[in-house]
Amino acid sequence: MDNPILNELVICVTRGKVKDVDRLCREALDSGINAFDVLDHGLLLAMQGVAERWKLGTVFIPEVLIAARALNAGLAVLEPHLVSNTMKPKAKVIIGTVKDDLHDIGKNIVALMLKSHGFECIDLGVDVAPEKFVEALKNSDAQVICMSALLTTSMIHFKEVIEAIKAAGLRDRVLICVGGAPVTETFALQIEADIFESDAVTFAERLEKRLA
Amino acid sequence: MPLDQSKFPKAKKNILSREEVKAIIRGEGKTRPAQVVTPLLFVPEEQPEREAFMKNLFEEYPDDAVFFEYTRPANFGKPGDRYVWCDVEGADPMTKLAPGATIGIDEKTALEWDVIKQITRDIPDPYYPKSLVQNYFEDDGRYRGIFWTRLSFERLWHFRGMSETLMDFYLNPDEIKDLLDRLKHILFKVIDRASSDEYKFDAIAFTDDIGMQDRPFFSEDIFIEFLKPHYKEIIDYAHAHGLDVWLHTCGNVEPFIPHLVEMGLDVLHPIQKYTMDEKKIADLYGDKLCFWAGMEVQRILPFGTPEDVREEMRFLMDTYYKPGHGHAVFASGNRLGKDISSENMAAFFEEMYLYGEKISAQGHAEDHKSPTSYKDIHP
Repeated sequence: MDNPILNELVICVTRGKVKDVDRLCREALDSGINAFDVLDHGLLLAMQGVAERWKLGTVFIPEVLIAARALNAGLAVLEPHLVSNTMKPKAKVIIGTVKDDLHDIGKNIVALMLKSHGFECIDLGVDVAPEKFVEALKNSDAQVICMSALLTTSMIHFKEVIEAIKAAGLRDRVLICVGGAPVTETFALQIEADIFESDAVTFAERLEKRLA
Repeated sequence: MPLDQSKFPKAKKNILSREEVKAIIRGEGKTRPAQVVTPLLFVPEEQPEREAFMKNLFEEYPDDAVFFEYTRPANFGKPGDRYVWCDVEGADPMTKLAPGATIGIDEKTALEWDVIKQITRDIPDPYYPKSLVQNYFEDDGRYRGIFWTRLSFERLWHFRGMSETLMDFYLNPDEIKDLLDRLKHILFKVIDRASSDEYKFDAIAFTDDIGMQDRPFFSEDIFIEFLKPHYKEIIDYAHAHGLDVWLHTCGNVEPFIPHLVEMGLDVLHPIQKYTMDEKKIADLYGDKLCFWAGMEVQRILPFGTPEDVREEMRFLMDTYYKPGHGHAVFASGNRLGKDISSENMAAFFEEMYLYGEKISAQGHAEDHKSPTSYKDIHP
């Protein structure tokens, strides 16, 4: 869709220009462009471009974060216009750093990325005990649990959370995702997690596709 | 102060002197490689269950260079406090937490810019604490330094939070530069005091993690614009005061290494395994700076066998140490955690000494492979 407002919107999201994104979204709607087209051919197109450059290794976390922030500003403008019977709400995600671990940097970046993909995040914070994950699962209709660990001494708690979810009879209801610096694909398979990913950008994309 | 070996009665090795370690750093080392684990990489309080075992191990294998951790300023204080990072009334995020809420290291000290601007510009004052370092003891003839954690980027995100800092490079660049300028003057005073007759240290070590597992946190352009000028001024100032500069920076920092070399950084830790190709880094920069090679702590040390640990040590020394020249000292890549078995701990220290002795005596390294070249080490 070749439209000068949307083309500029893509550039402004990519560069993280929040005020311009806000303005351009309004201009696009005022000019009669459908809100779904502004979303698909403006905001999301820009974010896809950022994700592509991430895969190529030409952008880093700062560029991804400022684009995600600008995308959220645009979404706030579009949201009232995106009401549709056909639009499926995105999944809820429970996220937290496991027991005995206070590291939240990676977890926070994952939560930001998930939000920029439209997921609703229930952030349990750090040092989260297995029963807290289960309780949050029982009290919500979340489809996904994301666990983070930075330490080799804390990542062993992933397994305890998975066992607690099984014991509560909720295993079939959720996708269990794990990540963090020392975590590997082999370890994730061993503890029967569903998804392991080493970076937030790729993970958000993968999760979106998996739940599509 | 000449080195007195009798001060180390249980040692299973001859300790290296200040001059010998300095020679290794300059690439003129004629001895075995130095062991430099430091109080930052092993914290006894974290492992009370094997206090006696570890104490004995360190008495058998003492560090060849000594680093003293700095006296840490409190994160938050009240107006008038001189040795705190923030003296703005009521700024501590912990005091605003809802009951039962948890908070991680990213958010624990994060502040808005309007709060940061109210902080007294010249605090913390490094002349304020009675002793600038913890657990100080008199010169025993070994190379000595102060370990000041959080040089630039780490200090920025302790003020602002990680996500905000990463965005600040684009959204608030002037504020970031001003904050780095403020930090620079504090670090100058640290260097003044550390190099004065009070301590006469040989070195200052910093931490500044600017790499992630698969790539740096930010681009080379951001490094060049924000951090490089800051690093350079600190390194130049330290050198002008007779201190070597050691830097710990985790993760993939490959694009930044040529800049560190250009700035004259003396010692770089840890060249984290699995994040960079260690052979390539050693080949490219091995004659330009001294590596403080750190053994991998996410897989090999906690989950490998003692023989894996010994093999990896031999591989690291073959990769980094140049018998007759030096240019490498050895340690773990990060904290020696409690999930590393005592057998692996012993293997790590023993092999560091034994294999170091062997290659320095024979005058050449060998060609040992990393155990990870033929097996996958996992929990």
